[in-house]
Amino acid sequence: MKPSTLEAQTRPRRARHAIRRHWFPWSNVLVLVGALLFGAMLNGRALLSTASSLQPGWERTLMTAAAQLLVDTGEVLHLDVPREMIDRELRRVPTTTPAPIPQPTTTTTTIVTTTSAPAATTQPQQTTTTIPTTTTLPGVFTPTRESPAHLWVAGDSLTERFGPSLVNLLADTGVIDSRRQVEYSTGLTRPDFFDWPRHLEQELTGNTTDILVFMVGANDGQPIQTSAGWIPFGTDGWVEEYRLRVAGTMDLVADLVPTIYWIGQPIARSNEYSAKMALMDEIYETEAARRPNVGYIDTWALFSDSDGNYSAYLPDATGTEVLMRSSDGIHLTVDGGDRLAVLVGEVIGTDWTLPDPGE
Amino acid sequence: MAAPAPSSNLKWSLLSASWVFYGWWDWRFVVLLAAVIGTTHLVATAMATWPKSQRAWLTVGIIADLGLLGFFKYYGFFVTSFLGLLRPLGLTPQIPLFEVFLPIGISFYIFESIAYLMELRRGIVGRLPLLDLGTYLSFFPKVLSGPITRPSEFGPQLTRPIASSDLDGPRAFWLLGRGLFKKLVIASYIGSAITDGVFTTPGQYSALEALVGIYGYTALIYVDFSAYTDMARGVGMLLGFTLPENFRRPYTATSIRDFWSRWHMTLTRWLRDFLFQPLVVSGSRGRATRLGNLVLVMLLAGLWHGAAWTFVVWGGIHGVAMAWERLRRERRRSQGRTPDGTTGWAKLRRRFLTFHLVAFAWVFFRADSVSAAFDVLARLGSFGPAPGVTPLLILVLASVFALQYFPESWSGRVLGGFRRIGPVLQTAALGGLLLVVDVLGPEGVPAFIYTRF
Repeated sequence: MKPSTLEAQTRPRRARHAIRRHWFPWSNVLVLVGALLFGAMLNGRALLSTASSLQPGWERTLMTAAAQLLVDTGEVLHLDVPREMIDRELRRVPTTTPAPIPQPTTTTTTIVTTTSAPAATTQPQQTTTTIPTTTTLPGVFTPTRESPAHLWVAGDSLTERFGPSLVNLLADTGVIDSRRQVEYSTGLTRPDFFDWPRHLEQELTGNTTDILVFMVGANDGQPIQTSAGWIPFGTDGWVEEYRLRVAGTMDLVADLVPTIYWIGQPIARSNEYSAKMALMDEIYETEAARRPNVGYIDTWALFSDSDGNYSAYLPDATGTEVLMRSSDGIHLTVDGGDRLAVLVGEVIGTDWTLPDPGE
Repeated sequence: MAAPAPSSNLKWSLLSASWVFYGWWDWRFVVLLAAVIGTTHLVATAMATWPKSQRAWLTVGIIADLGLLGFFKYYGFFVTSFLGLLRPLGLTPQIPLFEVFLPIGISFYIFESIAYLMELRRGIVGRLPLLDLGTYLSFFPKVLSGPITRPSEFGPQLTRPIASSDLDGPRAFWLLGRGLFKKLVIASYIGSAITDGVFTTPGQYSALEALVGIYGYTALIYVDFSAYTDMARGVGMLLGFTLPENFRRPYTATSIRDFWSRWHMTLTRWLRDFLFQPLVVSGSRGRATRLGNLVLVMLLAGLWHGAAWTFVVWGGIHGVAMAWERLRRERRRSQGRTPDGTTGWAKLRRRFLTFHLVAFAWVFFRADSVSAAFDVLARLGSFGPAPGVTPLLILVLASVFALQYFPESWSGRVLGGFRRIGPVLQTAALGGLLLVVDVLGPEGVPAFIYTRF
């Protein structure tokens, strides 16, 4: 009885063990985790760069620490070598050390408007007028089919729809040769992620550009990192630093392009977000007004309803209500892009005395 | 060798993980998904409790499902289209135009809910416990963009023991790696190199660039969508679940009907079994009705993809082409002739024509509006230099299309090789792939095309 009892006791135990061993696929988990770790060490510097681009907070602290650990381990194991070789061959420069922030050459008066981050509970209202631009920028020559004006529309994801619409609209005049560029999640607060001033300088130096249409700000409602540390959004220090960056960027491009149109941010669905955009619009507008060849185009009223509030649906040219904004309440739909392009196109058309489209 | 069937704990874990994953976009999405699960379960319970009124309950369930889909996905489209239609007549009725958030993947899980009720009605599946139904509809690898799985193929996997073949790690890693590469390297490259530009600012492109842009989108949408399916199937496989295939070399099709038996196969069989067949059964058997049903199904298939006229036109092109093919087939049969294009040059010709008709229809699918689609097509007559057409682009596109013609056994051999190298080298290979993807891929994670639907 004893052996058989023992057998009877051990058999199920073995069977349970066998089931467990096959049930939990250790080899799959090890391959998966191993591959992720190996891949992370091979891409350590890229991961560190991505982690550094996060907004300050516990998430960024944790991610940068983890990425730094991967970089250090990768260096010890020489796993960083393949990526370095590839980057060198592809002439890719790691963007961990951004270029110095351009300083304004035009006198900038610091106007401190807030003392803390705006916390709007009601829809912010801008003191908008019916004139969308603060400045008239007469064209420096009369473009023709033989000698067209060269336009570059660039900016963050708000230009994703608006950029093509403007290019298509102005192409119909036959005298504007356009190009466009959209860089997602970019702005002026995080040159460590994408350095717009340096990029603008490189692009404008290398390509003939008569008109620059520039739109950023949607991603700038966040703290700014300076050599002294992080400055929280909306504080006096933030306003001062952001104003310097806007002014520096305007002065930089003003020396390279005869005409610059700086597009303001439109009202958004979120009151808090709109308040941030209103604060930045005020900075763009006042700084543009100080420079003779920089015009500010106000888009706030264009995307507000008759009461001055946010509305996703607005009438198009035929009067039909059309969806103008994406589901996030920030970005533009194709029709929204067309609406903004018509406004900007009209301003450029008037300033540069362009023929009507299709003429 | 077999493990026990998934326990309640495992199902709860899968359901919770799926809801966290899905709610990451917007917590309201989970509320809606839970409401669909709850409603579907109530209807299924009613169908099981009162078998005599099953049909009525099925109708209630389908109306509830389609009502939700219609409201969340098509409300704005229908209202603005309706108002636009009345405006020329001087009528401007006051219909509220509020912003309805579009939950990601709603088209997919609503179709799965309907599939469950239909299969229940047909006796193919029994009533699933609420937890199983929730896990089936929410399963995170497929909740965003399918494959549209049947309860008869997913439900049993929740109750039967998981076989070791269900946990085929190397195959799952192969699918994940392939999907990552296709999406982040190939699809991103084609989009940024030519397609995005041609479809957003067509006026800047010459005839050759527009043509390559259209071919480019034809390749891109396959690469993008099949990459998603590969990854969904790979993740499912790692968890011990087999999801159905969605693609079988679609650009080798010799007819539009053949194309639909190879493209988005899980949608095709849904449309066939739950829309076309009921239409055939309930309608008259006249030729015109049958052809009309075919066009109607494809128009609805187009509308399923999105609330825009471009999708309706896309579906219409496919529907008319399928109806015409059917008419031709029937005529040949009545004349006692063999089916067209089964061998040699005729087959090649049919492949060529089918491919180009599909590519032509994609123009409407991709364009922002019907007029924008015609703008792209108009560029085909605008000859000039084509700096956008580079040797690398041609090489990539040619490779995508050429791979469709490679025997499927070749892919099996590569997978066999990957399987043989063992876990250590598999780990190294996958890590190396992450390096390649990070170097060649874009900044950030671009959205999948089909997550919009």
